Order: sequence, then C-alpha cells, then structure tokens
Amino acid sequence: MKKFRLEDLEKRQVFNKPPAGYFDRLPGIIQAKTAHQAGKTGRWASWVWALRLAPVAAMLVIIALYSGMFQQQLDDPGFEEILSQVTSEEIILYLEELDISNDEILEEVDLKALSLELEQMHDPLMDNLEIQDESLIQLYEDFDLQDGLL
Amino acid sequence: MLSKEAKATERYLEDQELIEKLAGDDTRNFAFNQLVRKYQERIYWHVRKMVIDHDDADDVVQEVFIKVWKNLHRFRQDSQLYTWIYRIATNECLNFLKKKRRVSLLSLSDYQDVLISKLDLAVQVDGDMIEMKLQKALLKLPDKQRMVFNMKYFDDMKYQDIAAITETSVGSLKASYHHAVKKIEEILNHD
Repeated sequence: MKKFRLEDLEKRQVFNKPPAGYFDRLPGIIQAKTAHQAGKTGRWASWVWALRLAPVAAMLVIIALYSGMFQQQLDDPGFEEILSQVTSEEIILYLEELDISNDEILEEVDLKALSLELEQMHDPLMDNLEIQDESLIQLYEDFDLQDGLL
Repeated sequence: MLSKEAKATERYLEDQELIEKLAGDDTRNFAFNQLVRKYQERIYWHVRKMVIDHDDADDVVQEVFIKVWKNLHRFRQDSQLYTWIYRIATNECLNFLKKKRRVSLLSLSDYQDVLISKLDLAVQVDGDMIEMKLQKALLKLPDKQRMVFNMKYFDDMKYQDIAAITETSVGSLKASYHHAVKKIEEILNHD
C-alpha cells in the first residue's frame, strides 16, 4: 500500500468562510474600539494618576505631621535644660520659701558615705589645702554640722 | 460595501507610505483604517487556522489590531510592517490558546478535544476526506509547531520571514517543520 506523503496532497482552504460582509465591517468595529480605548485612557489615566499619587500625598502628610511634632518636641526643653536656665539665687529663694532647715537637707544626705567618699578622693586641691583641725572644727560649728558628722 | 470588482482593484497604500501617515496626528486614523483593510484577511486566516472557530478568530483579530494601534509608537521599523503585525497576531494566537488550555485543565478536559469538535463545525469538507484528517492530525502538534507548519505549508512563507515573525532561528524552524511533516504522515498513514 502506497504511503501517504504530504507533498502529494493538494492544498485546499477547508474552513468555512466568515459571514458575508465581515471584512467590510471589521475596520469600523476595530476603529470604534480604538477610539473608545482612547477616551477610556483619558479618564482612566487621570484615575490611575490619582491612585498613584494618593500614597505619595499620604506620605507627605505623615512626614509633615511628624516634622511638626518633632519640632514641637525640640521646642520643648528637657528638665535639665529647664533647670540649667534657673539661677542659683532663684534656687536659694525657692528653698527659703519652702522653709527647709539645714537639718532637713542633711537628713537626705548619707553623711557617712559622703565622708568615706571624700576620704577616698585624692583631690590635689584638698590635699594641699593644709587645713588645720581647729579650722575644720570652727567650720563645723559655724554651719552647725557637728552632730551629723561626729 | 465594496463590490467584488472594486475589492479586486482596491489599491492599498505601500507600507512605507502607511508608516509615514501613521506618524502624523492628522493622518493616523486614516492610515490605520488603510492598514486594517490591507492586512485583515491575511491576519484573519492566520489566526483562524489556529483557533478553528470563526468567533474566536474574530475576537483574536480585533485584539491584534487594537494592540497594533496601541503600540504604533513602538514600531521601530527594524522589521517590515507586515512582519511586525504578523508577530503580534502570532503571539495573540498562542496566548489565546494557552489561556483556553489552562481553563480546560481546570475543568479536567482537553482543549484539543474542544478544537476537534469545533473543526467538525468549521470546515466545509466531509469528515472522511483527507483534508479533514490532515486538520485533525495538525491538532495533535504543539501549538507553536502547528503555527510554523501552517505558515510554511499553507501560506508558503519563506523561512527567513517565519524566523522574523517567531523570532526563532531558520535552523530551528526547518527542524520543527521537518518533524511536523513526519509526524503528520505517520498519523495519516496509521489511520
């Protein structure tokens, strides 16, 4: 039996033809769609741009708010800064108003620990001061510190 | 509507003239209309041989020319206008079939069977005729190989032109076509 070969076959268009007038109508259909696409693109483009810019705008608002808050924080000085702006005279006046005695102040101070700390300190100024014991005792009496120290 | 005689003598703009008019804002729409009229039948049959059904071919052809319109600014004239349009049509066809096969897979059916059933309705020859058997045998080839076969066997295109359209080497195309022919002959001789 003879084998079939493709080159022996007559080439024929076997598909049904498209509907009558199809190729007359097709260009109009396509151009109507491309015109519609162009219109849609115009409106669509503005929407797309709005959507694209929205996160950017949101970020800018957040940055502005944060900057404003940060600046406000910067403008508010810290406790130490506030304190450094207060003069020594003002502090003394304040303490006098509070009517706190020297004893009450000293009650807050661990004199023994302070004394030990002072002894361990080797301050050349203090080492070379050559204060006599009598002078120290006089000093204690002047500030009425004798009971607390001894 | 043009008469048959008018259609036979309808003069289309040369590609270079089309390209020049497509570049102008005032002449673009007219040139595009001319482009569609010039190439619609060739593109239609190129697509129809692949998707079989007229309605599917109609959808794909419209998509092709819409894409041509949208991408006119990208046509760099490094290829022929016809090659460029044909390439868009080829890709649209293959993408269409890929999508259909994927959907078929979800419904656990084979899109090849769908194409065979469409073939029965789409051809004007008896099912026993050799041309019908050939079409059914072609459906057993991978889509891209079938497309190359169509362009070479039915459209008698040169390998260089097919290479430009499919962006495949001439050597690969020759090998692909040779294997397609052998496979089809085996199928037809087996039946």
